[in-house]
Amino acid sequence: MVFWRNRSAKKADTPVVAEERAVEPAAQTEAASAQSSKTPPQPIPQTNVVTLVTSRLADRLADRLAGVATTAGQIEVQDTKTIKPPQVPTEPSPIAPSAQPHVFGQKRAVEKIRVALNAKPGEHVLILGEPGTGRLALAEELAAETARNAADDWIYVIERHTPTRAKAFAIPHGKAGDLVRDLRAAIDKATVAFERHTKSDEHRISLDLLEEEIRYLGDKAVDEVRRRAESQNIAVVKSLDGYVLAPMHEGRVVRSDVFRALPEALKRNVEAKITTLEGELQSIVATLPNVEFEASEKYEALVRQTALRAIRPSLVALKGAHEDDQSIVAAIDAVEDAFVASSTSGGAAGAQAAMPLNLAADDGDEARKVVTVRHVSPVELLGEIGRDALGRPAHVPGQLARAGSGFVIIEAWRLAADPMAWSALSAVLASREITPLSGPGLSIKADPVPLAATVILIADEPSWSKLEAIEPGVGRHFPHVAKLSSAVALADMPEVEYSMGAARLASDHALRPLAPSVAPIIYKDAVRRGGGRVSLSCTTLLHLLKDADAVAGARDATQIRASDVTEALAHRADGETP
Amino acid sequence: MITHVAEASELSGRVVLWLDPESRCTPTVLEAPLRLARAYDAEIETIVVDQRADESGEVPFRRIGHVSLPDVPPVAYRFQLLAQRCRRTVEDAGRTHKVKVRHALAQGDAVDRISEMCLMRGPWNIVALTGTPAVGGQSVINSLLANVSGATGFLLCGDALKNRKTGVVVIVEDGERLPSMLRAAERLSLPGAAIHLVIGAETAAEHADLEHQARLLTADALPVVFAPIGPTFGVPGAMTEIVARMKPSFVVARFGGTAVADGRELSRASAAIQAPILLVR
Repeated sequence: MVFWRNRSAKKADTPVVAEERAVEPAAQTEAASAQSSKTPPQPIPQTNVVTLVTSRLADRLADRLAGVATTAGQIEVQDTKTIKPPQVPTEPSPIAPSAQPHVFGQKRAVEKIRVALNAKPGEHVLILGEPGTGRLALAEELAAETARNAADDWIYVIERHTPTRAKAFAIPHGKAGDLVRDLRAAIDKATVAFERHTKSDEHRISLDLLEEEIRYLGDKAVDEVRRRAESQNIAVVKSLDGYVLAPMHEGRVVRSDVFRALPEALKRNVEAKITTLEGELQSIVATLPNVEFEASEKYEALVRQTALRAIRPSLVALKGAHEDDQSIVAAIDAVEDAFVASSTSGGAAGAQAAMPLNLAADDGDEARKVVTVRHVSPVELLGEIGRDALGRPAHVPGQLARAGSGFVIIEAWRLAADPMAWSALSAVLASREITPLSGPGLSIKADPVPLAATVILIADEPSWSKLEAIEPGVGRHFPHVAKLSSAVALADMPEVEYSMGAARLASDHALRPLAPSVAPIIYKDAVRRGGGRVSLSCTTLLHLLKDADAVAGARDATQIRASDVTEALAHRADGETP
Repeated sequence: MITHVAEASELSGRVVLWLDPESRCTPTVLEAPLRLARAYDAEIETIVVDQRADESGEVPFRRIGHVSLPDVPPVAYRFQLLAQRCRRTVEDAGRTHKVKVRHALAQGDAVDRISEMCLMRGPWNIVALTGTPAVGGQSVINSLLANVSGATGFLLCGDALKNRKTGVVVIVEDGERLPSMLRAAERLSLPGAAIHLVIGAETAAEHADLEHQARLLTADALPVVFAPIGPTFGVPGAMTEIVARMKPSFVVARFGGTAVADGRELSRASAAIQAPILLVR
């Protein structure tokens, strides 16, 4: 019996469907009279229970009676009056969705957000409001409607002399993707060409001659001393890792017994000569590394020429295509330098270092105008320079960079849950620059690039308080604050307006259209939730409409009708889900 | 001249292989003199010229640029070990190629000792050098040619006999030497393989003249291919580069010609061509 007491108590809150009772039969009568003249009479139904009022209680009673009659067969049907043939109901036109964003009663806030979004980039927006008031959806919708001037794209190139630096180059908007693709293709071609050139006869012969040159220069440096030594009967014998000086007589190194027999004066003379020559030879041998160093410079020049020969043809065409844009030409020059430098130092590794990294739209992703951040972390926000599956440097742009000159919508509770991310974001807001992070195992410091996007922070009071506590004074980066109300006075939100907003909400979420009879029910429910004011909680309304849509779907209805909403409300009162 | 080699090959020809134990002595390097010896049914006589000094006595003996380790073996001992290793390598290669190998040890000036060796036995000798001296290479060869009437040619051993796309290349610089060079090339070539002739001329007229002579001489002889190469117009190193690009397995050239000119050019040619070069008088 508690069930019935609760039900009656809840029914008091449920709006009465008087209008539906009055309107639907009238409409049905008219439609039926119109049809009766044109269509043949319908067969008489086998049941005598006709539900004209779609009340939940009535439905249950009818079901119970019918069940008892069919199963037990003991209760006779008493109402044997002739039943009118069922008439196909003609559904009224659904409520027209509002053309405005579906947030009810937030006209001032909406206007304020619109103004803020149209302000210059860098003036970020804070939208405050209770959860469920549709802040995120409103921000996404308004941001998508707002036109922004496109900002420059950016690409990174690893510098030639500072391999730990990724230098940023501004590229006119929309050209970075194509440019990076072209540059990568050029580098791939150049890598193949470089390998081919280094395996060519020409390169091999050049290298062989260079080796021969080193040998020649080394021997030549010693040759003069050798000649002078031989003229003084001192032998200079080349050995594996150096030279040997020894006295010589008639073309042969003197044996010790022969040397012993020499006069003392001659011995001293020979020793003095050898000591002098030893000093000279040592000084020459000490300069041999310089000879090798000079030769290595020649080797580097040779490889440099080979690398230039490999990459120039591709880049010349690219430069020709962008000769009017100095920033692109500078980026191409940097890629050329990086390719050449890395080729001279590491062969194939050179192509990796020369690989340009697209900042805004890597791997073919188009830059998005509105980016809603679903996962918050410093890497997600700022991006990262790491390595791809092939081991090449790769840049994964962060959400702030992906948005380009558009909008980045972030929910404050996510930031409050990850203070590191909030610190990273507040640093970006303060400096107005984005600096991608260096991935694990890499020491590449990327140049910062300007923050062109506007950050829209969605917050409620507690989350915002937490963020302010973590970074005091961060509010100055949000000059535009829009506050969404959770409830408004009845006068500010008439039933018609509310129902149109609800229809927009249903339309946006692909629900069935709302029958006009729904309006008073949902309005009354909103007033009940608002405690005498109209609740503006979109989430609660959306859940109700979704439940009602499910009920309507079970009944094969094309619209959400009052009975569906009523049943949904009843389900909610029961704590059930359809 | 190499002509003598061909004519007298039935008898006692010899390839004198000058081994420098401190330079490279690998089976690949040794393949050229062994191939030459086998081509002429000759034997190989190695010569190691020992210039070692007596470190143990009172002779002032200085090492320069050596690794300053306390246990560096004496130069003489190391020289001995290296010489033994070289000889062993030559013997192994000789067994593989079925060429008889002898060894000789000499002391004193290398050129003098080799000259003496060549004078002692004949009728022909080809001196094979395992490494080309970067400086003074020409003077070594010049001295030998001047002093030794029995030295008929020089072989600069290269180490790239395999995977070569061209067979024996003959650089023709005069018609007079061409028949003997062709005979040598024929012996060095594989059966049925063509001999590639490169006309080493500086001017177009000279080139046409030489080519005409060469075509007359080779009209009804061996399979000969004329490399489509024009005159070098005196560009230094041009012929070296041309021949290096051909990747020959063996090169026969005239010593002191314009193609492989002076000592510096000789070592550059040897480094670039990487194939054995047989230089004839």
